[in-house]
Amino acid sequence: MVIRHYFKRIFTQPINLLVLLALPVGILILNLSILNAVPPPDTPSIFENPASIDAGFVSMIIIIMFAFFGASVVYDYLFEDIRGERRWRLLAAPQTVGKYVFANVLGSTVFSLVSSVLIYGVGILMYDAYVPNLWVVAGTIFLFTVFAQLLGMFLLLVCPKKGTAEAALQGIVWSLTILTGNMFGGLNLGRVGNFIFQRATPNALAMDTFIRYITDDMVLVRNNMLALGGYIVVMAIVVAIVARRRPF
Amino acid sequence: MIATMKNVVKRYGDNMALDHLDLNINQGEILGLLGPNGAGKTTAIRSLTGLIGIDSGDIEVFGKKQSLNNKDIKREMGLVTQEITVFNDLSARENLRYFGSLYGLKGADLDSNVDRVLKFIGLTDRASKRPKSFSGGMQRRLNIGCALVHRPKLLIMDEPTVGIDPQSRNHILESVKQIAAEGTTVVYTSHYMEEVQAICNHIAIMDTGRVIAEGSLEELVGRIQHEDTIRMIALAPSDALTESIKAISGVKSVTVVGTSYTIVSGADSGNLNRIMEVAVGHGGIANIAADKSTLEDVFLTLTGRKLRDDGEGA
Repeated sequence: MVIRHYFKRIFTQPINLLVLLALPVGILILNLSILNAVPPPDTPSIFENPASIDAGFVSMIIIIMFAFFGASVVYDYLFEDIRGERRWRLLAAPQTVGKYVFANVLGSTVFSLVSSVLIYGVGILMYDAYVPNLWVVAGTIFLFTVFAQLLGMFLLLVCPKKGTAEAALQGIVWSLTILTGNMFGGLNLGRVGNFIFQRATPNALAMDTFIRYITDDMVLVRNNMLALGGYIVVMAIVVAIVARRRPF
Repeated sequence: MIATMKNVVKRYGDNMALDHLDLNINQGEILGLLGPNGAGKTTAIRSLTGLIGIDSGDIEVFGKKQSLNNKDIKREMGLVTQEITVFNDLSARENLRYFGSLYGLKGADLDSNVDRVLKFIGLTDRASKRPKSFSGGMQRRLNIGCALVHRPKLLIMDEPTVGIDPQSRNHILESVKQIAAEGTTVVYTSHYMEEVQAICNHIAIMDTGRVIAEGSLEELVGRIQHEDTIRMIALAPSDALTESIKAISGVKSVTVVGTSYTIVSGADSGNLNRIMEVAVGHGGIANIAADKSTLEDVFLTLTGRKLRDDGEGA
């Protein structure tokens, strides 16, 4: 019942449907419509169907960005339920705090994955978005989503108010998206900066996995996915330590 | 005895929120926990419900030792929070269903209890509406209803009428009496002494983390009331009337201002009738009333402070 409760709240909240489902799909359609309207360059592409690659690439950028934003669903409900006055009522019931947290995180993760599937699905159906390997794409999206959810839990634990967590998340998402070069291409941050932000951050790793698969660099695909898994392990340990010191 | 708190100490840093608190809750009663803001009422009920740990002392509920997350005890208790803590994104029925399910109700049992509570709180015709479309009083009623779905043996209500209109308050107070009449023991915290006076048959007055007095309203008032004050408007005030009243056994003083007489007499002397008889014999009376001591007077006598700051609350 607790799990069903959170799923229902997350999947029926108009703001979630608007911001995390309708908005990314709208942005995808807008971006790809503009991209498709631009005349192709004179130099021939190394790819057989460059428009399909572009559609896959843009779909992945939007998926990663909105999987990041999806972290807000984790703390959005838990700030009210576990950190606010409602906690006394919920904890007066014969349930554990862990059950509420687990149910919310599960609902939030599934919602984020549904958002990703919808974005890629629209990309494939409307713009023939390139799908390199279903398992690589699904695995990358899953790993990145789990990382984003852990980030949401971390913000819930360390931020005193929902507004603070929201500001921190927005700052992280926008700065990493811009520094990774996914928003404005050709950013040069120096050798170290380029490596950190364009190769080593979780969103850079997720994007790079997609790009490396297109160029058939399977070693880097594997390494990137392992690195993403490493980020998850580190983040999970940090969350566990903080949760132990500052329980819900 | 349905619950006891013995010598309970709870500290928050240097602040002693509960200072060797002793409290007994008897089966079937409405216990009023009365005290000013900061007296320790909320800490006391959070300890009682097992929501916070205590530093020392013993708490027993339903004959079992209370501890953090004691599910057996929690299953039989209901908590009405001071703030409205229902879900605004769920309808009234969905709220009741959810809270009922947290206590293990399901299927037809859950449905029938939800219907029962909707009827009890008077929201049957608004069951499918969300609380944000409700008035403050209706939201308060739903807030109470969410603690009743699982039919608790012990219901704890933490200032459930804060910030609502008098009509809704009366509705809630009547509901509390009905809940108790149906066999649920109620602990009712408030800093509105009128509410506690109106519904509680056992009152504990708290201050600085301790119970400073407890008993029935009559017992508490009896402890401080050594004199009756009678106010009378005479139709024909005269020196003869004043002297006749002064001559009544037990009358301690008579003050006359115009037609207004203030007479102080020993407590329970039964002088009201005698004074009326004397006054009627001296030209009659326009009005007569005996002042009764209140819990406010009890609190003032015990602590030297008022229960509420001037202008606070209703």
